[in-house]
Amino acid sequence: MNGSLELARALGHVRNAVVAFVAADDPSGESLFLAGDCLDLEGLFAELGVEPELVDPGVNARASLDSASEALAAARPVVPLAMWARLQAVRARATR
Amino acid sequence: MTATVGTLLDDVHARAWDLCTRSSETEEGTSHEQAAGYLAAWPRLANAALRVLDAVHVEPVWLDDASAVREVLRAIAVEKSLASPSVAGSDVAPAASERAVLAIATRLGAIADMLSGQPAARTEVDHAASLGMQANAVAVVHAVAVTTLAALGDQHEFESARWLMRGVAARTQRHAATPTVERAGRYEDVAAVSSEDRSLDGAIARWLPATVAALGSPRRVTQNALQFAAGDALILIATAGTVLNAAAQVGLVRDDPADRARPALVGAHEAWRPLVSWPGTVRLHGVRDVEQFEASRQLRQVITDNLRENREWLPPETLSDRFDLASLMGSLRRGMHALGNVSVAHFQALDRLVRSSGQLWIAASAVTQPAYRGAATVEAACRKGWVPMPPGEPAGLDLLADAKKALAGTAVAVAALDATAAAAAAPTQRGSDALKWEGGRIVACGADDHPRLFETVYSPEPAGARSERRAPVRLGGPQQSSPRR
Repeated sequence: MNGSLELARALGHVRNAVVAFVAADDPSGESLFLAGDCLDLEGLFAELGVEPELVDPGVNARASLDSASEALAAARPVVPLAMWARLQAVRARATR
Repeated sequence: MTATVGTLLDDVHARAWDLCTRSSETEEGTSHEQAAGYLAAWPRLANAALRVLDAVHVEPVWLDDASAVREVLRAIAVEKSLASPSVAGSDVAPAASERAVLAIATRLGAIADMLSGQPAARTEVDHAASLGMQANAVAVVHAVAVTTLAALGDQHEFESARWLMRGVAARTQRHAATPTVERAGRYEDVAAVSSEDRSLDGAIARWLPATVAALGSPRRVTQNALQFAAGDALILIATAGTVLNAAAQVGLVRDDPADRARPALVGAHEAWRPLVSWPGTVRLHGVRDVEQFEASRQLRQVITDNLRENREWLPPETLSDRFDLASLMGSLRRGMHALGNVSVAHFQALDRLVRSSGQLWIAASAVTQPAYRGAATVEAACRKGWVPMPPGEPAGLDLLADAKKALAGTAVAVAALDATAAAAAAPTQRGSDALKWEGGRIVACGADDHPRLFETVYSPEPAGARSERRAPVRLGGPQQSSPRR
């Protein structure tokens, strides 16, 4: 399995999550902060020089984050712990 | 609490009011030394007041409403005889300046310092705010002039000074009579905020330069930087809307300006949305800017920690209980002004990127212009690769158009929120016959008994409001027996 490809797919899913969070009609404002957290995560990918893969958008933002998690899990040897931890934290916040 | 021009004005007006009260309550009348002390402090007071009047530049198209006041203050600022008014040429030592008046002068100077970095007032809202600021400063000068006149009494050695003070009181009367609701404006929100400050103001003070620096450098700007700026814009605007609703609910902001500000904020929010997402087929290389990232994270954290609970905004009642809503509104107005600066930097960055070649990249499969769909592009599309964005590509132009909408929407929202900076109704307290206390400020009232100074107004140039000038009236001497025409 090509770790680079999985990282690229994971970044693609994270980008889709940002789009979904920003588009959400959410009077609580929580989706704005979740979008910010996803942008933090994109920054970690940028530091690794990962180019995003164009992937199909998920059903919603949470589904996109789940897909990103699956992609990173498949590329575990090349995934920095900080990136994994940040993604799981965002998933947990999005699920609450 | 953050020190603002508004809090300094509160202090200055309270001190001036106390000065008036003390002087009127002195049973024996004011001594010669005290009267001389007041006069000795006037050059510094005049200088400080002049600095406040000059601090906010106004577009030349608007008349200088305070020209007569400036004139008399300039004359006093250089009037050396005020320090030793008793007998010219005598050995009398210069009078010790009245400390209370010096304290007022010092604070007016601090206000001028805080306002000195403000851009020129170009809009009607800013012009009204600058006139209100002038009225607040001149009202203090008027109050001290009235007090000084009372202290001078009818002592012979103070005759020249008496005429001078009558000139000040007459020229400042009109400004000092401006109702307090007409004086409030965004300049009262201007604050001295340290970047070490851990409040929302401090977070915004760190966020602004870090974001503008990241966007302003052609080398440092990245997609991440642009998206962060847009994401922070959404959060700041949403925060401003939440606090505005709370302030309007408790009556701190009047209905009219609140009703105009809400749709403006919604419009700005909608305009920034596409800039957070970015098109999936467009990207810009680069590692995130650490300073911008940290400042953005801190800003979001401060807002979350203070204004949110259980993934929701605090309800208006809780905001009102926990915070000084007026002060919080001031912070958000400052935040929106900061966002205005960021929106300019954001638009300029995208403008540079879209118009220059080789920086933005586009998914090869998304290139629309046939002239650029050569073999290399097709090959890249087959392997789902990226190519440098060709000039004129609609995806880039759309991004730039979105940035322009965000800039325009932010400017409208900033102006609308500035208009909410109006004084809430407050109890009125009557002082001496000439002055009253209203809404935390001194207001001149009633007909004053100072002889009117007449001025000639003429327009030597052809028609046009710009060309009106006022002829000077001689100061420091008895009034002419008839008006000058």
